[in-house]
Amino acid sequence: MKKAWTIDEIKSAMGGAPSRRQLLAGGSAAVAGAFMAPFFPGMARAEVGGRLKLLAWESMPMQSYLAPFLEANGIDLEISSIATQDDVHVQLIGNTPNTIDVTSYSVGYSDFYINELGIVSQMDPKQVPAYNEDDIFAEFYMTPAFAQNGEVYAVPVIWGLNTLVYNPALVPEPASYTDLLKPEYAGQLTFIEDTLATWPMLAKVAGFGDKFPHLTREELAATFEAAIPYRAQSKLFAGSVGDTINLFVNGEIGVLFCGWAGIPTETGPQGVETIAHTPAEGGAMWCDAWFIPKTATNRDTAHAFINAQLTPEGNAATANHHLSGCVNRRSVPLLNDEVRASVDYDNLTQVLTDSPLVGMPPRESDEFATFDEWTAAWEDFKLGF
Amino acid sequence: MTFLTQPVRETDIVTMRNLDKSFGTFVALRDINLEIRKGEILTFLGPSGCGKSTLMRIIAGFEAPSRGELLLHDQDMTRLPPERRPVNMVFQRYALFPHLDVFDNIAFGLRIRKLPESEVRTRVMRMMELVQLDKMASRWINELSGGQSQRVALARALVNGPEVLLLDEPLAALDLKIRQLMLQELRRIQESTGTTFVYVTHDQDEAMILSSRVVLMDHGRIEQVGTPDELYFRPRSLFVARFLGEMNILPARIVEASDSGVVARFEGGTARSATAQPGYAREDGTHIAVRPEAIRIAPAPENAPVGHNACLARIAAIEPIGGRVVYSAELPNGTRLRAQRIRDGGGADFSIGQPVLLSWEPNAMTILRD
Amino acid sequence: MFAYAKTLRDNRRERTGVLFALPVVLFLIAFFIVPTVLLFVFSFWQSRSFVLVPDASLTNYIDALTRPAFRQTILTGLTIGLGTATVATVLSYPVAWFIAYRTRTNLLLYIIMLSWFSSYLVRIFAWRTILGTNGLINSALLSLGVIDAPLEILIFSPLAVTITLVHIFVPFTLLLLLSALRNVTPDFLAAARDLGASRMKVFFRVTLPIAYKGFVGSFMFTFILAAGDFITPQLLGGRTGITTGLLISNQFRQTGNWPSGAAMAFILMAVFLVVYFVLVQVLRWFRLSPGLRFHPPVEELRAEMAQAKEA
Repeated sequence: MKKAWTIDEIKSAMGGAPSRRQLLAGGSAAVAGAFMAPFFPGMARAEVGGRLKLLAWESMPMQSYLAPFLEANGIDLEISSIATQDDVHVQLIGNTPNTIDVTSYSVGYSDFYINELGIVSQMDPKQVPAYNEDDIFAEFYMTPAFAQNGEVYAVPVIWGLNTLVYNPALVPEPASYTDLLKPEYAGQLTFIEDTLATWPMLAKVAGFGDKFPHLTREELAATFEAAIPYRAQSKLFAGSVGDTINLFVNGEIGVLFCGWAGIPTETGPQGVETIAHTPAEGGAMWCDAWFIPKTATNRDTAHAFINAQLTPEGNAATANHHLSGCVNRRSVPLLNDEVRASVDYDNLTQVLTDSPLVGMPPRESDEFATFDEWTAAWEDFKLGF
Repeated sequence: MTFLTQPVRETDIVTMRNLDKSFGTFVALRDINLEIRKGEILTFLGPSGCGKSTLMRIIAGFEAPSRGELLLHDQDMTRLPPERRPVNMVFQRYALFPHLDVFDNIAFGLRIRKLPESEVRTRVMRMMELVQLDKMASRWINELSGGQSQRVALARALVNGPEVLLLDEPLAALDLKIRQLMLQELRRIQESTGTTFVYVTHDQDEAMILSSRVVLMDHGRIEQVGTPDELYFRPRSLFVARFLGEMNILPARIVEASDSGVVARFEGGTARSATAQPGYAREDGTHIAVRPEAIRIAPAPENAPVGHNACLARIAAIEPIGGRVVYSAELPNGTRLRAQRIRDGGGADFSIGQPVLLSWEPNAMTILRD
Repeated sequence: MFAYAKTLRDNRRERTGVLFALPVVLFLIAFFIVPTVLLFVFSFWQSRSFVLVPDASLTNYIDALTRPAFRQTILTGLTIGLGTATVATVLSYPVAWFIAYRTRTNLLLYIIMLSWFSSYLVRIFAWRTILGTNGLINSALLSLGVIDAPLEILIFSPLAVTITLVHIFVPFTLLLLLSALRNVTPDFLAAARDLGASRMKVFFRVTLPIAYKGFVGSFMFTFILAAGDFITPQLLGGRTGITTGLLISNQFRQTGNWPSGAAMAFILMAVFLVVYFVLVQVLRWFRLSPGLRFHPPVEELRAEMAQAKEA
């Protein structure tokens, strides 16, 4: 994590005692930014620049594919890594929250962040011109996960599918999830510790897929009751995506209940072929959206940063890096071959209907099972109860 | 199978025959033949490295001899592990168990043997009274003084009623005053219990005061075994003669040998033995050994005849040491003899440079083979 | 207290000692004692949406104790912890003995400590490779024809967790045992044998009591760390090897229910304390602790002697 610079350190780095405005805007780089402005829409302001405090997933080294943008605007990126979604809101709640300029949430958390915790600020759409109706796919434009009451709260940047993944050398392709109960899958199944991937599928398999995440407590119990035969087919629960990849490569498992569809791109280079497959019941979708917390100070740069990832070039670069789907239709031709092939863009609407974007169970509710109750049930399930 | 070449005497508790011990190429003990007699205090004495501690460890069972045998009465004990030998040891640094108090330390051996607790108590208390520690039963080891620790170590070993008690330089860590007290204590305790003691020390005074017999060792060999007086007055080798106390040594050559005695010539005079010295012949090289306290000094008379066992010399140095005075008198060939006298009230009887006549009784002299 | 303050004022050595110790003590107070006390207070509160609500009650403790899954993880943790501690201590003892009494250099010690230089996670994955279904052991046994199918118990089981944890902790226990054994000088062992003790008795009546702190320390240290570990169980424990640490971690991270997590943690701590207490009592019962007396007080002994003499 970068150490916060004191005023003196900034001064000495800039070799003198510049004016206050220069200090804030990052000096001559800001001027250069003004020249570069035509190449990066929305960059014309001199206020863009300086230190940008970012909370990002570990697998997001921004510098590589956003380097030109960052340099042109004199943006000094200060990234803190997160490993789970909780790492984000933990820093933004309470009496003394941290100053964070930009961070993301996995879209299942949108209601929780916007309405329950109230840590998301409204964005200025004019500063994010790349997020417009023409360019962005309809499923990602101003849907309730991103915009409420006409106000934009967050902007989706990348997305992907969570599906069943299997090793064809060890098990046959399951046409339906119920096939997993057959003897040839005994001991080969695993579940991943990614609740966003697993819970919706468990609900679907139990027949409550349409209702997720709003299941009653009885339906919750029934869901895990129905999952017990599947548990009997498994000998362990994988802790993370990396763990799952390792297990596939070592031949310890033959099929993953539901997880990141990009797993085959990781097992392949290690010599084991796996296939991401959507059985009859479908899959689930994940999507990461950037938002600007209420505690942000460098809001202009934050908007510019977000916008840079939504332009046709920017979104393509981002999707290529993360091996994910893109949200800007003009980015599709700019995708790498394998990234392009991972999503059926021609039938995107159907794909997203089969594997819709779902949220998380409510934090508090009288009518429905809460997130805490889901967690406890999931824990008990893993432990054999 | 052991073949007893000689029968073991009933009074011999431990017998060592033809014992050798080597550590790699280093020979620690060579050809040890010795018996330990019931009820005696036998001391192994010698300079560092002479093998006395190694021999003790062989008796205790912590080392096995490379060759030879060790008998307990007439049973072969050579390969018996230490825990099965009726032998106990007082260690030089006591090795008192820090996790037990005084009473339990002493009781350790008895409890290992699973004696009934009432008997343990009686024996331990009696032993504590014997070593005068009866009030200290509940003290912890780190609360004891040096002398007290030594007595606990002694009690811990002795309470088991061993056939032989080994003491490995037990007084080495104590102050001089305490050491003298403890010597008397040890004597008293040994007489009281009648246990056979085997004592190891490098301190001559301890050996002379305490022992029934002394085994003087050098470089792994036994030089001489005998009572303290025998070793002191009748040394059988130059090493023994030189090791104990002070000794004047004069190289000499036999000039006459007969049934009544021998005459040997040294530079400065002749010496005549009081008794027959079998095994000496004319022209044999010898050494004459005389203790300083046995040499008489008298002013040298002018042109006086010098008979046997006497010689002329000049006083070269005077050393007053408390109640005695030692004169260094130089013979014409430069050899110095030391003569010791008791001082009765100040003043030297002789002065530096004064010519004197040194003489001694023939039976105070030992004629040693080369 | 005032007497001690006076000592500090007068005695420079004592003052220096206190000054040296003070930074660490303050650090521990600030970053360990205070947070622990805070967590203890929290454990009686509730949590809503990541925000603490100071409604004091015992619900967190009761909920945890009445939940079968929680009790099971405690049992699993106990099994793994006790198994690891026992095996690690028992395995290290002969090595420590050898280094202490039979060699002059510490070379063997250094070689074993070398394994500390590898990262914790790397070692876990290495053990996966060794114990795995297609791993070293199974492949070797299969190709030798000793078994027909891979041994399932070797991986994703409490056994796999124990093996890996033993591997990780043996350098610790070895170091602790070795340093404790240095206090048991060969003189003590020789004295014990001289007094009639067989080798077994020498160990139980002399070595163990004198090196007591080393044995208990290495056992408890390993037990606590192994019973509370949740990374190794998660990666190697399969479905039957999950420990309480994972539940506690979930409460702090996923559900944001610190009070519940804290309550679980303190229950776990109480379990550890019970284990420690039992261990100490068992050792006392078998007379393996130092500082015990096996005789009546002096006055009574002397009275007995006096009576016996009169009789």
